[in-house]
Amino acid sequence: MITVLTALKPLDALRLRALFALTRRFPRLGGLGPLKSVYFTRWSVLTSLPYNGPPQVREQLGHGRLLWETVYSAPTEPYVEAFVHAVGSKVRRIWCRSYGFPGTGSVTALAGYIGSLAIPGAYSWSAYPEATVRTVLAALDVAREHRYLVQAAHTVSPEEFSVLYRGFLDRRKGDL
Amino acid sequence: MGTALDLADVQGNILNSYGSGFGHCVHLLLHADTPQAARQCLRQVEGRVTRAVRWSRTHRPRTTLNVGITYSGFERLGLRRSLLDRFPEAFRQGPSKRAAALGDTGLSSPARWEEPLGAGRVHLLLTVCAQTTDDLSDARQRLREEVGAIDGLTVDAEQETHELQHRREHFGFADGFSQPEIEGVDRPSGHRPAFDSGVGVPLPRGRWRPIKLGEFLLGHPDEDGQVEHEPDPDLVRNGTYVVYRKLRQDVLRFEESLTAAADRTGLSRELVAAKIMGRWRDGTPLATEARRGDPGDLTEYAIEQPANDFRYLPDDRDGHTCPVGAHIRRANPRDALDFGGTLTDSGALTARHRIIRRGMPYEEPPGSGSDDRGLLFVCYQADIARQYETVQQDWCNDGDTFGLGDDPDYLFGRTGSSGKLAIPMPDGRPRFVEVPADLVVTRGTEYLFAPGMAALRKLAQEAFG
Amino acid sequence: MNHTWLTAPLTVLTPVCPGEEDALADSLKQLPQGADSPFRRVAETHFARWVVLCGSPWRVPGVPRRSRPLRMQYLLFTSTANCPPEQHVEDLRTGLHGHADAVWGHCVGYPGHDRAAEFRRYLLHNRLPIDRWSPAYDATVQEVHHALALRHRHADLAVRTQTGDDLGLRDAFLTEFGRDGT
Repeated sequence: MITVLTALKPLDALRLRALFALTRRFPRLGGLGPLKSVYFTRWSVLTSLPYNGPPQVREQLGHGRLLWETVYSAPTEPYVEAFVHAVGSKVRRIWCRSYGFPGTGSVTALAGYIGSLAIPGAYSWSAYPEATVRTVLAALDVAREHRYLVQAAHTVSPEEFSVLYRGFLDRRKGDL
Repeated sequence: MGTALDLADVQGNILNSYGSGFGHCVHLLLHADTPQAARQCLRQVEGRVTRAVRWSRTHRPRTTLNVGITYSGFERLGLRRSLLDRFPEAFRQGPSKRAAALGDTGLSSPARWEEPLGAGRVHLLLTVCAQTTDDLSDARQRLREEVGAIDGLTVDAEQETHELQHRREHFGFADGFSQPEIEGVDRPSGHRPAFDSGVGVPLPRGRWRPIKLGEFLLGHPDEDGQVEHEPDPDLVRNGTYVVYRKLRQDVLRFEESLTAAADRTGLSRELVAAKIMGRWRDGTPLATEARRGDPGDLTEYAIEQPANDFRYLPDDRDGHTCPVGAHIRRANPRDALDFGGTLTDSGALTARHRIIRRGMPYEEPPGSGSDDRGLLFVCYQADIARQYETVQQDWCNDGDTFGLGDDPDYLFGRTGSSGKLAIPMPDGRPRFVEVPADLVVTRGTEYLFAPGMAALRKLAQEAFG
Repeated sequence: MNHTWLTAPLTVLTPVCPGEEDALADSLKQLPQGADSPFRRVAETHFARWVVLCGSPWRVPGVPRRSRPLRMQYLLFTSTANCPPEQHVEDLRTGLHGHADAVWGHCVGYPGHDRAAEFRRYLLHNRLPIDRWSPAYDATVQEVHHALALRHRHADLAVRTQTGDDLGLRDAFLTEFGRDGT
């Protein structure tokens, strides 16, 4: 997991909120579609922090902060490589509004940027730590077809079932 | 910015191999009790280290010499702490500390490695390659005497390696093909030109380009446009990192596993072997020759220069020709990492993870036909973690990058883990071959740095202290 | 797949009581990990994480000097679960139990896990807006576990039956999966 908090440039908190609203409406603009190593990612634009009364002091966040947290299952460098090559334009649209963002022209520079900003976790937990994102997605695909196979096994002839099962294996061989 | 390539400053065998004429090698693993002993050794040999300049037809040396230095070797040489601390983490930690992530567990764990490998005792590695066993023996004797004459310097171990006939390794596969095409480096005559070679970076529309020099030599731009200078530009320029890894091969069990897999799948042994490797045992890639009516005995020859101009996409995305989990497809995915077709320049995701391989088979004792045999795997790269370790750890020991879950390469199964190789078939019913455990066992690993010639001279003269 | 609630994020930022920063760090270190984690008792939770924020975690070259560091330390909690935020907060209360007090007890205004309404109000008051959320899937934790186990069984079956006849194949399939629901 990576948690990053960046400082936004003037007016970019507003612009980013607008961009995110647009990508909620048109998900393809902002999703991480082709990246099969990300379980979940969230972004929050912060211009103030919740206040709970004394002894908490009110913080001045200036132009705002962008909080990014991602849960992923890949070694870090290939993960950043994938960011650069597969979703570079989407990443740029979001992060170009943060100070210090080096762009997506260099894996080394972007990995260095993320590395210098990543806040170490104090405690982390996963309900399935042994399973990567691809494995989970593959398993869910297998599970989807499984129900139809069980139904077919009870109802069709062995020859017909064999054809269905072979089709399943051919489609899902990479998922097993 | 990087500097122009000066081959006279680069050790030999890195950018271009010495060639099959030098099929006999010995590696001397040295321990120095004092910085003086280590420096004296470097002073003794540095003028004889073979450089990367091309030999003339009439002047080939009888033997060659290369030098490597471990991290503990740099410590022993007295490098100042501010430089030592800026070496890359993988090099500083060494392979023993990184063993678990590299799959060196169980029989391959560092606790079982042959001394002195991985224990921090090896400081210097001297490698001699020779055209004949007599020349090898003479050169080795000379080096032993020179080492013996230096107070505080000892040969902790020696490792001999010899090429097998027809470029084989002990599992019977012709080996050593598909070395990277490097920008600015002339290929030996007889090799295909760069644009047609298939060993560079795949480009759209069937073209190829060479890989940036900085992927293999420090001080030059790499594929990311970076020039690596750490920990010191003068120390690392024209140098490279070396992975030295002794791998014992259980040949009998490998052949038995082929027989079992053939029985289980109904496929021929040679086809199963080809599907495991991605090449027929004579070196021909499945990608260029998917079927053979009767493969015959593939042990009696090797293809001199197999057709390497192939890629996996778009026609073989699912591995019907070369299985997705086959060894060569894992070790060099070429254009196959394209996120399901969304990336047009998919070669970019492989280009930063290439290695130059210079390994050679060993047998103990040499020529005895004993069961104690395997491969002394040697590779060169500018970044051990990004290149060698990514290939070993993420691509060969694990299948997730390719959508294969935790299925390892057939050759790298370990006791306590399981896995399979899926072989798609034309009849639509894939075959599955279970991955055996411990066909290849790690007997020890060292990480070293092979300096450029100028750096070697400076190290011998107590610079960088 | 899940027909009740999509995977949803919760992000909560709470200020740490001045002087209790070290105690918070100790509490987090002592929280059981892995199979003993109290999050196993929090229904529908895929991932959870606590991160401590202080100083200027955003400082990189290029950030203006006028950008002030945080004046306090903050505890950031993030989780992903298949239930509405209000329900998830209640599940955190009942699942984490005393562990919630051990961690959030070092934060300004925390009421304690045994005061249900106040606990809910506290976490929801300190909830941060999520401007963009990208999940790879919407399955529940139970569905994921079930699918992972099923995948293993299918892989084993595929290896075992690869050269059998049609009748043998169907029989083997029914022996393995015949009692599974559809």
